[in-house]
Amino acid sequence: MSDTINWEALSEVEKLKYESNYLRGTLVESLADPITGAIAPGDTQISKFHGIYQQFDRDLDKERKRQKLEPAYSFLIRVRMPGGVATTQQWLQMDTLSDKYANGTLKVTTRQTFQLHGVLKKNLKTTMKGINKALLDTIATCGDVNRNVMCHPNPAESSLYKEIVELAGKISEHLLPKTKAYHEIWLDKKLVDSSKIEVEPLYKDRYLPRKFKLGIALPPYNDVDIFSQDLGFIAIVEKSKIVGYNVAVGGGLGSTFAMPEAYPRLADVIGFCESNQVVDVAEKVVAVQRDHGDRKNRKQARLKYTIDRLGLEKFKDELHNYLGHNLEAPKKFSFSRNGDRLGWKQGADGKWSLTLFVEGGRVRDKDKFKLKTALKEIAELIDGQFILTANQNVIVANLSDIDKKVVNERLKANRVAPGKISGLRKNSIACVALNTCPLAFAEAERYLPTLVSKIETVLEEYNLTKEEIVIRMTGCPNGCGRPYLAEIGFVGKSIGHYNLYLGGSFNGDRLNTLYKETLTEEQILNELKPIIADYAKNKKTKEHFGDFVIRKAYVKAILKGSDFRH
Amino acid sequence: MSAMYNPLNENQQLALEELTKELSNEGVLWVSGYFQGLLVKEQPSKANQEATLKNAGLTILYGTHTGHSQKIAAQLADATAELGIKSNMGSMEDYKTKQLAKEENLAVIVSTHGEGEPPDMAEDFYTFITGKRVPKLPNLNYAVLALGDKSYKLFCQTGIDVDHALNKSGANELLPVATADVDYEDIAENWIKSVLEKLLAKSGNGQAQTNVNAIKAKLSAKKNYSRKNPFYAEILEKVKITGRDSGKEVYHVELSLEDSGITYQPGDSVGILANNPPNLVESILQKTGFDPGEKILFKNEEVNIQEALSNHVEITVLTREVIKKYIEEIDSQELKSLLEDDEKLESYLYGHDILDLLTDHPHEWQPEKFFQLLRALPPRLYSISSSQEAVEDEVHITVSVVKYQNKGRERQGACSTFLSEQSEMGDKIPIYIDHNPSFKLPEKEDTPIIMVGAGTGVAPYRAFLQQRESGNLKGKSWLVFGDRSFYSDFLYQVEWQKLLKKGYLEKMDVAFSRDQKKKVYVQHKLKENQEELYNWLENGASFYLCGDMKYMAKDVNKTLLEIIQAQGGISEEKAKEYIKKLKKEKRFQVDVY
Repeated sequence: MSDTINWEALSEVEKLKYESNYLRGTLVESLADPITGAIAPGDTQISKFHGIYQQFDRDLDKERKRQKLEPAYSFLIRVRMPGGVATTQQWLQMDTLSDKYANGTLKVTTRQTFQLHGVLKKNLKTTMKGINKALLDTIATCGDVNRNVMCHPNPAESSLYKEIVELAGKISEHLLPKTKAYHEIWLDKKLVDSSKIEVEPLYKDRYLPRKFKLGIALPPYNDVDIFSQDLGFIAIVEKSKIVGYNVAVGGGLGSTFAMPEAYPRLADVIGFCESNQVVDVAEKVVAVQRDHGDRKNRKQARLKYTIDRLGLEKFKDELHNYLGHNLEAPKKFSFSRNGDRLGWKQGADGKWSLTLFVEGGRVRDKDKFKLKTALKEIAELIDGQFILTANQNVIVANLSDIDKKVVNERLKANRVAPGKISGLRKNSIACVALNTCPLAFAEAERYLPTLVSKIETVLEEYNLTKEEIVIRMTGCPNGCGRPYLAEIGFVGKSIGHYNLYLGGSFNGDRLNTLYKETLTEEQILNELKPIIADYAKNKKTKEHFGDFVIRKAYVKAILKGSDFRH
Repeated sequence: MSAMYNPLNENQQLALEELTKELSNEGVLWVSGYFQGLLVKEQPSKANQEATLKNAGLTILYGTHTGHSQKIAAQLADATAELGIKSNMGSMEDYKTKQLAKEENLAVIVSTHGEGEPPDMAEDFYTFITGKRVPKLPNLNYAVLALGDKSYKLFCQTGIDVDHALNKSGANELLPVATADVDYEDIAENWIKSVLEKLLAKSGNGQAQTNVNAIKAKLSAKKNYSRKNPFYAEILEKVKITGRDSGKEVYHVELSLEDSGITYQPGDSVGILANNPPNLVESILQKTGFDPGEKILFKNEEVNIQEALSNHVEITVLTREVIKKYIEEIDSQELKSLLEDDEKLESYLYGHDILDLLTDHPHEWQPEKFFQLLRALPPRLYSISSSQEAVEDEVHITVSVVKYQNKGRERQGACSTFLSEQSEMGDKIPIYIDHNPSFKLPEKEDTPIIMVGAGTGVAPYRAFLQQRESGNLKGKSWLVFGDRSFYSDFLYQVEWQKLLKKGYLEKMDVAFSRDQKKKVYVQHKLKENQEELYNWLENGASFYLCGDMKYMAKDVNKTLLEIIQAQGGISEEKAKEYIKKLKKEKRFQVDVY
């Protein structure tokens, strides 16, 4: 095959993948190199497929350069947890690993999984083994493959939860890379002779052109932001039963400043399939993208661009070809919100779930506020589950009345009893950004709480504290914190400066629109104040902030991703 | 050739014999003229005088580790030449002991190391002269200058032993053995002067005294920058190169040598004449109640007490000598018992300074007496971490700051504090180059090198590799570095990475002792790589060791011995010989402190 590939024309990563011997690269040698805390440049691409990102502490960058020391390299490890479900044992193990080998915190990501930050190279393997010991793994949580499969997280909200979370697991399993590289490198499994069988029947030898994201929504909840996924399945419920799923394709939020051809795009609902067809549909969408995605330019490689390039109808035709049958016409559904409903909820089976707000998704002890300790103690005491939500929150789920009491006690004892949180803060998301994300132009997780407090002061003035408003901040335009689906969105331009986007919908079915560019904090507050004042005075009953700013023409609604501008 | 001693090595001797075997008389005459011509060209004054003088010749032998003895020997040789005395100078290592019986005048300059040990290169001579095979030497006149360090118990022991041995074998003492501490210059000059006087007196030269005085003045006035005549070098860069989490403070310092004409080689050191920490000076003033403005005489120089304490005497460390002198003034049973028990003394000296002594054993000191206790503030030597080939008129050093708590008081090393806290970029500080001939890159420049260094012991290897990179000499270099933690103590990490990438460094192993439960040190890395290490040595590699003397050097030496035994399949005895041979061939060089 290599003879026929013109590598010059392709993105560098294509060759790396092809030559990596199914994701082995030179990782073993890189790990053994004692002179650097980094891995070889090529391996930084390959390691992603194993759930590992190389990063360095950007706060120390200049200082260490002067000290003739290499950057303070460390690694981010992202776990694979379809639907975000962890047992109490798994929670405890991650808690232990975070203290022992990472920076002492657990990050709950916007794709419902754990991230460990700050793992040194020398501890990578031990940490990976520790994760696998808890029957979790990290395969394909990054890289050009299908990533962690998302799904609505709350068992107490619906008795149908069980069915969708099982489906999430099935899809995740089905779309996993089949190479044994992971097991050899991290778990010391022996190499088996696989020369006779095809190593990657689905992904082939170059995997996908780019990452691929997949989620399952259970209306009316759109907490997984189904329109941001490359592939979304929307459960269609009739008479309290899931009769099948609408198929949505081509979502994706990554974009680039000053490059209008790289834009966020919402998924199109293209049809309906039965429950038992979902896995096959997922496989075939992946296959179409594998064969038709752009392998020359990684900034044009996501499925959303493939679809816009082919045209939606042509894409559908191709998918139908791959499937061997046509999808049915989509069915009606409606979403009410894309945020989480915080607090206790009792399911039809009598079991309790608590959706606990975790600011910025960062589970840690801060001063007297001992969230991490509380959750650890809870994990030690209860019989239940921990489910991570797409809004970076944690659900302590499937609890008896007694366990519910235990949870409340432990939260109180560690001063994390759910207090009064504003409607704005409840609906906030921030990506990691500085100091570890190499892409960030500005702060996000470390800054958003402060900014929210300042906006809260304004809201208080207008008696809007309880009003639920979706606010999201990312340190760069790549979209991890899904800022383009927020009613108030911020994207970092440079240290202390943000673009402000307004007009996303409360249920996540409309992109927001750039309102003002490169604002300082003071400017942000000055821009928001009059709009909030107007909202307080002129909002219709139950009118959400995002809808209001469109109606009042603060911004024009974006109807098509390619119309989006930074 | 010389009847004194044969300076030719075996090969040269053979070559000469080969050449002369078949020469006609005419040929011999021509060759002798040829050689004479060479000599005249190189050293006209010496050669001319040699022909006309009938004085008894002088043989000058030195045994050195850091090069001081060699330097003094060279000064003596120069001075004899000025006076028209024939001399031969050589290292103890190259000296054929059989020659000794034929000598008339012998000057020995030898240093002492560690616990009274001779320098490596002097070991054989020392064993011979103090042994039973030494012949009777009734016709020999001799003088010994012993160099040492008073902070060690057996001060100048090697020189004293050599003096004693010569005396025992019936040789005539020209002057009593002279012993010099680390500030040896004055004593060395006087010793040279005395030796010359004695020699001239023996030869009945009337002008002796005037000549000698003139030469002495010349010696002192030599315009070379030295400890006594330092160059004030501007600090161009001073940066802490240990990371935030490090328990250590190591500075990379770049100094300007612009317009000084100073040159150095990789392996040399920079001597810095530092001030004492101001806090300590202040505390001593308070403790003693001295008037800081009062003038005292220190080493024949009138200075006020404040200045003497700051610039002239050593106060940050305690030595055996200080304790000895202390009890001459005050009657303390406790201090006396210290002097009788080495272990107790060691543990008292460790981490204590003059202020502790004043506190623990109070006494109403008179300034003059007090300053007699103390020795002159010695310069601090730092291995140079740059090559002039690469940095031209700069010199770089790597300084570990000595700072610790003891008895509720922060203790600071004199020089490291001077550099880290009292000096800023742009300041000019007094320095000189301390040449170290026994820590040098191989003469044959593509000889493989194995460099072992812990902590700031890695400094000279930065210089070595800069030199090799400047000469575009790739490969055949292996660095073994050790420190506490990879993350914060990997000194010059980025530079090694680049050298590895470019191929100027072929192989690097690292040992970070505190990064895992079990402590890992450089010797463990040597052991891990023992087969390869042995192969390198067998292929002619030179082995360098730099850093801490007390633990690292000992452990590395032990490990190296074990490796040679195991890999060579030889006995411990043979392995020791192997190492000895390496040292003889200058393929095992050590710079430890």
